[in-house]
Amino acid sequence: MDIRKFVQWVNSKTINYPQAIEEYARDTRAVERAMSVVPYLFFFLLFTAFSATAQWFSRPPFSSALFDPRITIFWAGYVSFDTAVHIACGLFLVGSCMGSLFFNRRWARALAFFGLFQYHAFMSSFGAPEHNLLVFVYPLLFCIFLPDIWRKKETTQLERKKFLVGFIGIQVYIGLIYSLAGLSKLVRGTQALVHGTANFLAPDAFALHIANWLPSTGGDSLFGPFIVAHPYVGWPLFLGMLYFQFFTLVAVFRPALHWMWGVFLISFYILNYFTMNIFYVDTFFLIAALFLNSPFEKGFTWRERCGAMPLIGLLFRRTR
Amino acid sequence: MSDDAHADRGYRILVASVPVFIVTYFLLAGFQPLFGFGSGAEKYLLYHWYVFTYVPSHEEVTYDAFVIERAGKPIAPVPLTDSDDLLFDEWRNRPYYTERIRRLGDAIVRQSERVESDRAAIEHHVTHGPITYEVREIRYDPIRKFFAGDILSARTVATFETH
Repeated sequence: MDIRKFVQWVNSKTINYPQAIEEYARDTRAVERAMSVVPYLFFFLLFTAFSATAQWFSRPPFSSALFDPRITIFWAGYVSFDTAVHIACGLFLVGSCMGSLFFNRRWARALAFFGLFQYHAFMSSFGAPEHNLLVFVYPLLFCIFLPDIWRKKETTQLERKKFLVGFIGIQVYIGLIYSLAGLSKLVRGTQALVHGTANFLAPDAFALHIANWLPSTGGDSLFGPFIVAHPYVGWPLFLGMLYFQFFTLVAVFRPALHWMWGVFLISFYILNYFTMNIFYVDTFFLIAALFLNSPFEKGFTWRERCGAMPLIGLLFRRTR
Repeated sequence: MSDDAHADRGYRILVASVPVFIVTYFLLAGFQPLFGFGSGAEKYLLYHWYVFTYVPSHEEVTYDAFVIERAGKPIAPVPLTDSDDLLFDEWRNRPYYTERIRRLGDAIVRQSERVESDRAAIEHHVTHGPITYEVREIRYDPIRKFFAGDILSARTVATFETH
């Protein structure tokens, strides 16, 4: 195989990031789509803030026994636990309200970030990290730096470019965390393979995960027992999940894959729930907003989508 | 420097910040625990999302704690996490306690200095009177245990009395 041609082919599937921003910034539809996504992040945050507050005042998820305040909420060490709950929920609610009402102003987006940041620190102060809300912390931080172009009748090319770079930053963060999750499975799995212990290539890897996980949480699932009994059904699902997770960061830089990866990432959470009873729903919204509704989606054909898939795309190259 | 040049420079810095962010986050959050440096524990705000990296084998080892005496009176052994002796807030606490007990058992077997701190972390949440509990090492095949509840072997590695 000619290495140079192969590298050219790989590059042709991956956007030349700075150059692509120039092109997308000239596309009014892409810019408006990106602009329309941001307010919905704040609307969803408001919904989350109300749900979280309601939970604290009806069925508190934690009690003071496990409370060990993080450094970022040092103030919680100087007030009673009940007061800390009120302050954390209050900051989250006020911040997300302001963010929803005035998403087109930087100070409001900064306030929304601060409220979430404080509430996330509060929820991370009970002995275990809070992953659900963290997926919003970095995106909201990036939102602060977006230019306030919603309020302008005319925008410059530079403002539009800056906005799209900020938007890509949010997508990159999401892509990065999935790719890290996939990379760790591959590295640890390869180490296990070398040492001859259980690894991700074993046909019953997913069945073993389910059988080991479900009893430890005291939970049950609809399809978990079926996959434990029929490991070969779970094998392709597990390998597919690894593939999609690992290449999510690559997919961020291949617009033809955004929609497909959005579908996968949402399916991944549905599968997780029905097999391992892991309920992790907040991320659904973020995935849908950033990938299913990606501003960089240009109505690609199926051949273009499949051809852009890492490794698998090679098959489509040869059949042309 | 003209305004245009200044703006262009700012934009180029912004563009470069995306790959810089990827590399920095990976090095700070992901690299160390993945390649065996550092504690492997997730750092606050720099979570590495390394979940389910270990594929269980057909012979797993875990640790569980069983209450065997309450207020000096022997009782039929009951798992600590299924008993009323621990302060349970919600279902979210169960994995917390399970992991704590597993860490304690691991520390006992390895004769680690962590034993006392892990013990204290668990006993801090025991709500009712003094209890005596055993920490047992349990070997099991996850699939056999899942369907039939079978375990391969169990042995007591330590017995503690709460203060």
